[in-house]
Amino acid sequence: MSTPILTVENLTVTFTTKYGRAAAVNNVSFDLAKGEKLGLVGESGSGKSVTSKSIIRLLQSPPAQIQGSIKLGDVDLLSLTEKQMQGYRGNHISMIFQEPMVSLNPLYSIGNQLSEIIRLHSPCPKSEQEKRVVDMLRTVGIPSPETRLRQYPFELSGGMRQRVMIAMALLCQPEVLIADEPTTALDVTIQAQILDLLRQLNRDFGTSIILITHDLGVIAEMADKVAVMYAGSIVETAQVRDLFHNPLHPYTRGLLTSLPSAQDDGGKELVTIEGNVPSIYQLPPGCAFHNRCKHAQSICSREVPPTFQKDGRCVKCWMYSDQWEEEVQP
Amino acid sequence: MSKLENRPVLMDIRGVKKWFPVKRGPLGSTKNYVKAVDDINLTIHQGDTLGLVGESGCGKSTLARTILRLIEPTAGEVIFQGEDLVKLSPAQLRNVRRDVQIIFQDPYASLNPRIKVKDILAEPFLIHKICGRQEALERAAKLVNMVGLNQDSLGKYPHEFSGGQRQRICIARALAVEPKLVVCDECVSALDVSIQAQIINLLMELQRKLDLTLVFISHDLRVVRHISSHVAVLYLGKIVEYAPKGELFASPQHPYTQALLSAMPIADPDAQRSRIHLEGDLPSPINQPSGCSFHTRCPMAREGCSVDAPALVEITPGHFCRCPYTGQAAD
Repeated sequence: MSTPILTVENLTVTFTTKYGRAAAVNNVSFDLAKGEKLGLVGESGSGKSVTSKSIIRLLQSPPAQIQGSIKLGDVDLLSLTEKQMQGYRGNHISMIFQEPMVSLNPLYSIGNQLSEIIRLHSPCPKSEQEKRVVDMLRTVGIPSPETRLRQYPFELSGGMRQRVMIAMALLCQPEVLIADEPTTALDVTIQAQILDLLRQLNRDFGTSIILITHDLGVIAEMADKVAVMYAGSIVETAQVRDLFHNPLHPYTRGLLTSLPSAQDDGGKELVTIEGNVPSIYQLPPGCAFHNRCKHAQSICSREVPPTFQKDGRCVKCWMYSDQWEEEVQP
Repeated sequence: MSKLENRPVLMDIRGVKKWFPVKRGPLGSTKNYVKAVDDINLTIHQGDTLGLVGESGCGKSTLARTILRLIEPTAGEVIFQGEDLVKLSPAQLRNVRRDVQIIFQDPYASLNPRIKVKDILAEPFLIHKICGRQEALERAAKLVNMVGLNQDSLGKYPHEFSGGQRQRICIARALAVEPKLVVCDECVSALDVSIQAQIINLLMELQRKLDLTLVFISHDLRVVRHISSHVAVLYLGKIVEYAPKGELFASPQHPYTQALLSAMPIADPDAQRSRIHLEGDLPSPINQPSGCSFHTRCPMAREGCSVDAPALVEITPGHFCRCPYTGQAAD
């Protein structure tokens, strides 16, 4: 693909709490090309949301300590002042959240909340504001947008509210849209509608999308490229086909096989990953996955694996180092 | 599936309704009802796993709670082992509750944070006066083994466990009194995929060992497909389709079931997807559409659909569907 518009390098986010210091995100790097859909998958607590919130600078710092660089074009977002960042949020980079019920202000009408974005980012006469808002609502598939403008969030269903959130995020046509579990709170039939909408907007406006989800089914349908997160690190990055047909990291393999497949008739037992996700306060030494991993060897519990390149893919596992072979065949 | 049909009937749900009154009129008079569960008939055989699927608000959980009488039904009968649960007195009901247990969705909210795991697990024995405290604690120790936790969990409090481990405790508690029927209300929905698979395997293994009958409620069709033997699809409080699992997934007949199955995300980037698009949202259960309650979103709706409410008809043996145009709907 073309030159990346968003580059995240060595992003580390730590929190100091009364339980100790915890690295919620640990040395994460990835990039996003124009028009690309990047899927970020992982289980709860793997650092997906902290990563996305650091990109759009919504993490309160302190308590969060953010290190590394996040470049949008040539600008390092982490070096901007809060005031400068406001000019980037909405205009260049936007975010939609999981809970459409709580991300809209219940006290203002839909129209008011949407035109606020225009008032803040690209002021124009009131009549034009309303026209742009109505056009946007129509684009995201809200029927009779003129009447919806005067309604309040409680009058809309969950799917409609998520459409309003998407309209709000795209009003100023940002280059990057971060969708943090956008369909998790919705029913499957509504989820299908919202995913179609995101795909269509990606096609029509060329908006790059970072889609965060724990649902591998959603990833398979939406993403071009996938990054799998485990305990704060990206353990594997690959094109979506490669990842699903030939997963490299043992964790990715485990995730894919523990999913009941669409053709599953319950004849076989599901393959599971033993144990539990470690707490980020007490990460095991070495590879964070080693005590759940079937292939683990002594090196895995001693040293954190670096990211290895294999066939143009990135995987963070000692299995892909040169030393590995020696240990397997003594 | 015919083998299962020969097994004895464990629970027979006949015409169960739960209408919640909505007080809208002057002086607080009841003007309208939310028909959360509306005239449901289901037969559950010994050893079956009945999957209940549907979108939020379709009445899955209300139905589950109604058949356990955690909510009093408005009408209908729930025959369990020859007794109508609806007519039992509270004391009689307590005896029956030994045989009918429930596992809830949120393992964080369904365990008392102030008591230790051993007391949580001993409590069912004491409530049902099965044995004394000493023996109850011994049995609790066996239960944690059964669900795959180690012995030192007994002295811990719920907050010391992860979500999956807590759900194991909930399962142990439900199985303590050796029930015959266990209702699992979205019991894996709050868990991560890798943990979800562990819990599903545990449930299926225990079902085989203990000859349990399960009612498994979930909105995740992949999980329901894996675990169930029969599936009922609910829409706005009514069953729109009921069939053995294999048949329902291979040839869904109701347009809603077809749309629901086609909306299921498939974890394969190369899978062929022919998605049936449903327009709009679930209608409000207070003002249900006239005629067929699905006609407002149905891609095959015709003129008659908004007038006559279709009945649940047996189209092939054991396969029930609430749509008069089933044969054609598949096209």
